[in-house]
Amino acid sequence: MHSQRFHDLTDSYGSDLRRWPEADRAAAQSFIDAHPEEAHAALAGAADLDRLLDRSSVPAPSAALRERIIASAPRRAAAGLGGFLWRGLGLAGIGVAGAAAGMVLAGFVVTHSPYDADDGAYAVTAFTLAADEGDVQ
Amino acid sequence: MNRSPDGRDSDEDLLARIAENDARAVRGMVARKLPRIVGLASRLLSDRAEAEDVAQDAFLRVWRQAPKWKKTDARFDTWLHRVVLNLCYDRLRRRREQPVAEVPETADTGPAPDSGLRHEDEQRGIDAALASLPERQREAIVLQYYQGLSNVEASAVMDISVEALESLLSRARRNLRAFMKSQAD
Repeated sequence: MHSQRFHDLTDSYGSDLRRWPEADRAAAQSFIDAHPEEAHAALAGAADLDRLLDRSSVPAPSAALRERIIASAPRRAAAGLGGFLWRGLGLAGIGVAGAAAGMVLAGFVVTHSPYDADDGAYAVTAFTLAADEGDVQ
Repeated sequence: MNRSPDGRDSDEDLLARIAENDARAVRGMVARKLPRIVGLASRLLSDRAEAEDVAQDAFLRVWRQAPKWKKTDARFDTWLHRVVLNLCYDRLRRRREQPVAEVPETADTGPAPDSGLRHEDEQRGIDAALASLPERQREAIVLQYYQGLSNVEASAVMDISVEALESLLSRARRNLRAFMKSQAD
C-alpha cells in the first residue's frame, strides 16, 4: 500500500482498521509495520475525531414505541380467525343462495311439471325437458 | 432455517416467518432493527419525535414487504437502510420547504467557547457538528461509522460509488474537525 492510499483511507475511515474496507486491512497493517512512525501519527490524528464521534449516543427506543410498532404488524390469530369466519360466512352465503335457488326451481318444476312429482325419475329430468322444450306450462 | 454465525435467525428467516404472521418473529425483528432505525433517523433528522415516526413508517413497509421478499433480493439490512434514508429525505425536503424560522436549531447547542469540552459538552458538540454537515456527508458518516455498514453497503444504500463514498467521508471528517475546533477555540 502506498503512503498516499494509507492517508486517504485514514481520512475516510478513521483510526480503527476494523472500520476500513476488508480488502485493505491486511495491506494497511503491513504499511503500519513498515512505517510505524508515519502510520501512527496519521492514525492518532484520526483517533481524536473518533473519540469525539463515540461521544454521540442515541437513547434506546421506548417500550411504548416498540409496542406500537409490534401492534402494527399483521397478526396470525386475528387474521386467521377473521379470515376463517369470513370464508365461512361466504361459503354459507353461497350455500343459502344455492339452496334458495334450488327450492324455487324445484317448486317451479314440481308445480308446473306435467309429470308426477312423486316419481323421482321424472322429477330429476323434468327440468331438463322443460328447459329444452321451453314448455312446462 | 438460516442462522447467522452467532446462532441467531437470519433477517431473511425472520421475514419469512413474519409473512406467516408469526408474532415471535415480529418481536424478534423489532428488537433487532428498531434501535438501528431510530439511531439512523435521529442522527439524520436531529429530531427524536420525527425519528420515531420514521421508524413506525419503516416497519409498516417491512410488514408489507415480508410476503414478497425473495432470497435473491439484496441484503435485507441494506434494503431497510435505504427505506429509512428515503423516509428521512422526504422529511428533510418538507423541512426545507417550510419557512426558515421553523427549521430546528441544532447548531447553537454546543458549549460556550471558553468553557472547555467536558464530556457532556463533547456529546452536544459532536451532535451539533454532525447536524451542521451537508446532508450527503452526514449520511455517509452515519451509515459508515454509527451504523457499521461496509463501504460497499453504504455506497449501495446511498446509490453512489465506493470512491464517491470515500470522498464524502473524508470531507465529512474534515468538516467535523473544523467545527469542533471552532467550538473549542
